Amino acid sequence: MLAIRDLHLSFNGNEILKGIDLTVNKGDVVTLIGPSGTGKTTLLRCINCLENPSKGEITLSDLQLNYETISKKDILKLRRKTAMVFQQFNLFKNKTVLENVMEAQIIVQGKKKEEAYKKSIEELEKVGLLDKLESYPSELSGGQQQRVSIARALALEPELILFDEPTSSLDPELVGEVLRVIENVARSGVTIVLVTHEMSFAQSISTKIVFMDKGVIVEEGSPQFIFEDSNNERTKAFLNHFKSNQTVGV
Amino acid sequence: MFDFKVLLESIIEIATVVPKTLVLAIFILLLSLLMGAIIALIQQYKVPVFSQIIKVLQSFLRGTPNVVLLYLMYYALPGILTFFAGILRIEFDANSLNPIVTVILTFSISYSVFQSEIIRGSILSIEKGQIEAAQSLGFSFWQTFRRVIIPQALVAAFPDILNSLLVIIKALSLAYLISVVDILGQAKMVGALSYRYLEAFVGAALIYWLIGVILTFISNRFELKLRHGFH
Amino acid sequence: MDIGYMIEIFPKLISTLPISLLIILTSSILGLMLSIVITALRIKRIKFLSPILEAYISFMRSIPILLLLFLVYYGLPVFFSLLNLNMNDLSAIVSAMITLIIFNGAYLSEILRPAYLAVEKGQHEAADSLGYTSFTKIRKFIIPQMAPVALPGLGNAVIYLIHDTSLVFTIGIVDIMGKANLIMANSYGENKVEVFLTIAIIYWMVCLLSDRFIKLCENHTYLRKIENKRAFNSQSLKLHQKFTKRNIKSNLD
Repeated sequence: MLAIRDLHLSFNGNEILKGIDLTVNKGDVVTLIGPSGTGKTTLLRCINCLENPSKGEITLSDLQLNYETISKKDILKLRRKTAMVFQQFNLFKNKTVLENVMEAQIIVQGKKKEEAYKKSIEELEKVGLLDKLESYPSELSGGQQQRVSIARALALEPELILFDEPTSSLDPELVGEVLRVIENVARSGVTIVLVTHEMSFAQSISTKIVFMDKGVIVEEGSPQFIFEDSNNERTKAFLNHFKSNQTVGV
Repeated sequence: MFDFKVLLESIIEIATVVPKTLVLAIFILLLSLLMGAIIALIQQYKVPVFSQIIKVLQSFLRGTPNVVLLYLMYYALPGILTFFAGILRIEFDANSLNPIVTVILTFSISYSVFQSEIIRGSILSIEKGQIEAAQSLGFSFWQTFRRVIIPQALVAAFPDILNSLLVIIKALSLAYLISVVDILGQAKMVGALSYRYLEAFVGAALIYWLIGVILTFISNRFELKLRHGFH
Repeated sequence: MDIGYMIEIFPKLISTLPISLLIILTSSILGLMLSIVITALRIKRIKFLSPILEAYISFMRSIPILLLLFLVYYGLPVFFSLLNLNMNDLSAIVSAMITLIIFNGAYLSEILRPAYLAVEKGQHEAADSLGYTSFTKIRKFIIPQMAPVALPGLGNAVIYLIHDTSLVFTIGIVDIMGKANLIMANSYGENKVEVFLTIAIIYWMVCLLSDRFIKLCENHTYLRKIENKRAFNSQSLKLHQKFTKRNIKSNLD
């Protein structure tokens, strides 16, 4: 349901994305992995137009758009079908937890207050933060903020959820609680595109792994294929680095 | 309707009063800094009666426009000075009081509170570690003060001090109301003499703008050097 | 010091307050609107506008307000006649308002711009990614987060505006200062100190009211709400601890 064709992006004269083709089917959990600075996050942010590609096409369910001719209205339509979970959480600082989850439902989706409230409570229960409804983001730990951020995304029931290194800014002991929540989201059948450095986590929940390096997709395939059976030199080099420095997994 | 030749002539004539204005402004700046330092000390050490008086003074100065203060001082100062002269049995002719004194006194007092905030801010911004290092090396209180605190405080406050200089130069534009000639006062005279007020005012505006640009430039260069040199 | 005299002239001076207040309110509101436009343009960094705007701000921050009052009063009709437009009777009040609006607009922009830049980029990105329009995003998230940063500066700006208003008598407006001159003329120059002392007190009161109003606005920002929660919680916690301590004590007896 998501198809990206021939995506190019340049910044300050440097080409960061050099012709990306990506397909995501409904219910897929696609994880982008690769060395830092190869454009994984940039690619993710192209999907909801937080970055401006110079060339390429994107198809998201019934929307077919060309990045060179994309209009503000199109961008809005694209963003209303997706939701993003950020590395820095980005909860609205001037709103409480409950308000953060309810806001977009009411304003962007036009839901009634009671409906938004019920849905918000539902999602906050799933992430285990019902006791923090009236708290402000500054009163929560990083892990708690990220879980609220996930609830905020889920409450909108988007066609696609984008996770941008959701645990990279967390203290190690808080990573687990967030990964557990993301795992539940994945298991519930939501379509996900994820960028992460948590390799064992990626291996366990993904339906497809995409390995990127220097602005191109080097290899893609099932987790089994990429992690165990790949013969590609660059893929193996990258994964070896992780095998020797095992970070704390789920 | 607008004559550029007259503009040029006006600028040259107005410019003659710029040095005097700058000297006056710097003098007021130094005086207000001195008063500000004293006020900062009083507030820091919470001296009993004086802190309260300062607080009221602060509120009063914040609430009273410069022009009102200026007229107030202009009419009240002769009487006040005569009163004190009487107590000290000194001969004093109230009429001989030069309005420049009123200008200097008014603006120094008016901006003293402003300066005290700058001073307090800059002293508080000095890292505690610097003071502790000096003390552990055996510096006495006064030595620490002179060699560590003051230099660093001055450096931290420099941009703000330069800004106050600009503020004072602008404030002096009111001085002509009590017949002390500054840049604006000179512009009015030049305009009156040539019957071309507009050119004189535009000339004055350009002079002020130039002063502002130069001061801002110095301030920015200083901050840049600071960032590269010290860290 | 004749306090009786001061009380006597008080109502005469207060009678001119409406003019000053009119000028202050109009200039502050329109000045704020202008500064919002200027700040928005400065943030967007439009190619040919940027140098013009920066020059405008630099100019307004360098010249005294008194000079600008004269420039606008004498210069605007000349400027309009250059464009072949007639402007015969530029009312002093309108001229003063225009002056204060463009003067203030620059100063306010220097307060609003840092406040805008102080809001994290992530807040914008979160709202954008959820599909908020620019206008709604700014209304619901950016402005509330700018408020705690901008309010102290805005408070000062209003005070400076009130001070600036005290100079409009120089272009002939009969406000409180203008009235002072009349009073002094009528009383043959006696009691000048009392007159200006009374004026000083009146301005002092106006500024105190303004500061009070700004404090009220500051109490409604989101940061204050969070602080109050914390204060309330620590108070409740202390009470709770006191209560449970007493209970424990009695159990031990």
